[in-house]
Amino acid sequence: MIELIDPIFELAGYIFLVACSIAAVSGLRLAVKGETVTSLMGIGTVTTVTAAGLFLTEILFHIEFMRDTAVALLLLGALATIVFARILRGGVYR
Amino acid sequence: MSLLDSFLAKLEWLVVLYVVGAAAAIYALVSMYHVDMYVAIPAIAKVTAIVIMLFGSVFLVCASVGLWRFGDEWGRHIFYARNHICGIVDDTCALVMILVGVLIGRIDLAAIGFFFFAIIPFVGNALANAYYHNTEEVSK
Repeated sequence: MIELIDPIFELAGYIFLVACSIAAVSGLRLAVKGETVTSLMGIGTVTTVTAAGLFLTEILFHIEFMRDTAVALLLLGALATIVFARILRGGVYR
Repeated sequence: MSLLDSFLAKLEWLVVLYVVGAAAAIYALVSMYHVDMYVAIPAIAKVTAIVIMLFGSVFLVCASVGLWRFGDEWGRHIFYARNHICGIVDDTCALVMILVGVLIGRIDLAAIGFFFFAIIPFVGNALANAYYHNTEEVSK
């Protein structure tokens, strides 16, 4: 019974990856059809779900560089979204 | 008692129920199936991680369907609903990373997820602020 847990964990990881892909497609649709701020929001969503999927892929397949890519995506994606939203708002003095 | 209070009260009972259930499952594995304690505890934690990932998948798919449904025909203010949905996607990813990272013993995953979980409200606020100053002020 204990031996079944690892394959089921892998299967749940695949299901989560599929869900991440669906969310990424929704975010991409938002990014390509909306206006500027909406596109920024869609790209932020795509970045988040891609990073979560990469991290999970690293856990499932033990590919080390995916973890570094996911960390960079998560940190830079979130911070860049804040910075660009601030620029779109009209500068730092408003 | 508000709806949130009643939900949180039920959530506390859910946590208590989970702890009791996990302890009973570990006891059953150790005593009935003669599994080593150091194998049984990570196994139960992994089962919990499986459940959390499946719940997270359901939340992600529901949020994606919401993003598809709320098109431009709903008017100008639909941006805020989309912002909320994107926040739910971010929160789900961050919570799955934190809880799965803690449960399978990957602290780096949990730490990055926790940092991202702390950043999410600022991202949503910055986006809504930018949209407000771009559209609402122009239309005044």
